[in-house]
Amino acid sequence: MNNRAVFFNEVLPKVAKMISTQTFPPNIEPLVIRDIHGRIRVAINLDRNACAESFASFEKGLPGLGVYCDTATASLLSREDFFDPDSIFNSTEILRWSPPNSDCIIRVLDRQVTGQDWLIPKENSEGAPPRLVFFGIKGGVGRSTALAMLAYKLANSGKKVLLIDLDLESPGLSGLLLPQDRLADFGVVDWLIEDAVGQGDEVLRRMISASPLSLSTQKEIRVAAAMGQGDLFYLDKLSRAYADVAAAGNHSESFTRRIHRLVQKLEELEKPDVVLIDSRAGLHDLAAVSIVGLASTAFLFATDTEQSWQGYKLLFSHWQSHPKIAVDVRERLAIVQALFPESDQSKRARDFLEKSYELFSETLYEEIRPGETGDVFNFDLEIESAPHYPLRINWNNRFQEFNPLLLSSQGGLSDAEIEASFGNFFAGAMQSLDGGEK
Amino acid sequence: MPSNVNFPLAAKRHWRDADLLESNGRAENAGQLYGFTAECGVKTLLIALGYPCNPDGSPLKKKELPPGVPEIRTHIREIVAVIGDIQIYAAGRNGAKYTAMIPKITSFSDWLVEHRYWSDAAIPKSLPTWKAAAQEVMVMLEAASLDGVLI
Repeated sequence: MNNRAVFFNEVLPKVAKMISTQTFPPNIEPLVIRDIHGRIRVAINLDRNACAESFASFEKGLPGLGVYCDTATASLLSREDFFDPDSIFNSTEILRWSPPNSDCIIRVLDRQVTGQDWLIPKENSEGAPPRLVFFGIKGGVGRSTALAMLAYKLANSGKKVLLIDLDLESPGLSGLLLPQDRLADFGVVDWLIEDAVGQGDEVLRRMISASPLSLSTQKEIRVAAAMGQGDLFYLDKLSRAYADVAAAGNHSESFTRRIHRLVQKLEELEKPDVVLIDSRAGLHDLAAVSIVGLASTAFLFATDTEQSWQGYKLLFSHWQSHPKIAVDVRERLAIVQALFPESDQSKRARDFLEKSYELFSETLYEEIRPGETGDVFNFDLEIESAPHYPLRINWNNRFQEFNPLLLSSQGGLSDAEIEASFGNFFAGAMQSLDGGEK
Repeated sequence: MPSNVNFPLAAKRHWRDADLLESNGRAENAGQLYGFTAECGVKTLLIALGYPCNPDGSPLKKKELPPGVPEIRTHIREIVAVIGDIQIYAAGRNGAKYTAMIPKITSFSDWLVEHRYWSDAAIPKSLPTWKAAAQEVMVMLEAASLDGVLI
């Protein structure tokens, strides 16, 4: 009898250990299936008879998983236990997972309620315009303001810009760029609802408006806001927006796939040179789709606070446990030091840089082993093109209650003031558009 | 007392037998069994999502159900007819996912349990669409099972 409770955190490492110390038939790697509550089943891609031996010894370890292995139901599965075994064993959702500080790698089919999108690699986006994603672990770090300013800068330099507000739980981007009466009839939330009942295309053309901010710029800034004009039912729609939807063919279409489709449709319709996406703050599915699935570059906004670093550590560690995703995503990240204070700048810059470097080194940078040569994803502290090396946005209290729609002629900010705060960030963003890492 | 009712196992059995009949040229009864497959599969899902049941696992009879809850002690065609109302049980993140996986379920609109009394010639030639719909139900059940929703 195992008296001590086993908790979620311990389960997968224990299973990995069980698997690594056990022999399986040649060329057979067991598949760990973790259900939405965290309970474990282990499947082997052979007929039951051929698995018998492996199962017999494996079974002894199962009680060690506590309530996370329900021994009343079948926990060791062979091909006969599945309706369509090939679709399970060859599922593209199978991930490679390794416990912290261990070389052992196991195959996991992780069934989750939300959050899978942190681990779905970027889709092929050939032909798509660059997509710059703005993300912050916490809100209130000037993410949307920076996005509006970059849009202005890009439009001024001759690029047609499309902004998409995916911050559905706090739809604010449009407020910065569109006066209330310029909002389109519909927003992103409307498309998600109407598309689910087959009329997404009806709202597509009616969910985009031009920002008055681009009246004086060379090219237009087009905005797909989260909400439409005078929306009285936003929450009714938001509470339905994340549904998977029945689709033609054999599979339903996931929320992620739908967001991809929306972005592609908007791009086809508008033909922008650059797409800027306001991602939801925090570790939410919408942020996952934006950063992992869509971004050509993801700007990760941070201030030098424990909250920021802890949040990013959780996220980066998650990627670290899934090496394939880590490789896919790490080259597209760029840290932004937001609200960079006016005083004591060199010390604060140094502190931030060191913490950012520590974050990347502990998680996404590869270890350089003695004698190893070749391509290793690792950078020194001072390398400015490295993902850990922050782009900086200088604090200016005039941005606190800032209305970008007021240009300098109307008492707003001058281009020089904007440049003083955002110049460094602009330069980094431009570089990422030119195909540089950042 | 162990229960005799086991919708997920029954769904699997009907699927296997339907498949056997079909591959032996017995299309008419294969179609009948694909209908039972879907019925058992959909019931499995609805019950897992909270449809009211007896202790033996069978759904409640009409007179025992709360007002407004449609009865599902019936066959697939009738269940599909009320599936819109049943979907109230499929609210929430889980339910919507699984119901979205079975769009072809409406293919059973020309399926009748009375086909068992009919002549071969009178039974609709709908085997491929019934089979496709039943297969979708089986795939959905497998997903729900892996998710741990059916345990």
